[in-house]
Amino acid sequence: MIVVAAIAAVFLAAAAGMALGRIIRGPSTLDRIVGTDVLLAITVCATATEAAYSRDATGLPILLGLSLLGAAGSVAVARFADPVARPSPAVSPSLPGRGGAGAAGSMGALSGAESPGNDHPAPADPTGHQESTGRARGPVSTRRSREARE
Amino acid sequence: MTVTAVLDVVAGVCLLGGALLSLAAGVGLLRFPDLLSRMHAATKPQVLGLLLILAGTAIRLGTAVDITTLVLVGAFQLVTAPVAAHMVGRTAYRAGLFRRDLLLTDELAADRRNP
Repeated sequence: MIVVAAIAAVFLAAAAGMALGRIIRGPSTLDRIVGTDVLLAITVCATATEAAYSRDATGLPILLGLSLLGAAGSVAVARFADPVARPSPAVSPSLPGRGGAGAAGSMGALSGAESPGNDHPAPADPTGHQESTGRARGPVSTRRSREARE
Repeated sequence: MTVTAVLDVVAGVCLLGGALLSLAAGVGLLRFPDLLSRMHAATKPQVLGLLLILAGTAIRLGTAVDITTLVLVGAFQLVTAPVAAHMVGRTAYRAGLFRRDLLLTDELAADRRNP
């Protein structure tokens, strides 16, 4: 059994490393979400493999929590990155910093979404259009400049 | 060969199959060209690989409480993974984060032109 456990550990470690590589390289937020999902699935697989190797059921409640809540983060970030589901300025007119910039941002997101033959996904990064709120302006701009340097 | 040894061999095969599917997902995640095909690769350890490894773990552990927990883990994963994949795929399509030249057909294109 130790041979099986060692081979499975090598496979899972290599898979986790490659998922981490996809998380690092991007190029868009959604690629990183998919990489994070795979990394979570590999974590669950590794914990179950450890439980099978040592015949010890201590880690099984962790698997229960991970399998229940693992999708919540992906759903939340995917909703956040959706250019269509973003609230229009007319929905919440009283919010500060959500005037013309928000309208221009959603227009830009829509035009970016409808461009055919999008060969290079980096310019249509949906997170690049989220400077409609003033609080998100700083980190978004730094991330954008970092992607431009790549 | 005793029954325990046979069960251990079966569990080992299940664990190795699940680990191999995870490895395949890692390779696909790195090498596939766009987001939708990477999502295709990402489903391998999320469903089939995880179910194989859970089956191997259930064979190794063998008590009723642990098998119930593992069945619950598999059921929850089967329920929640399609939800996350649906949201990610929908956002990818709306944001245009896929390569249109790799699509065989785009059944939503007409609806997007004439909403």
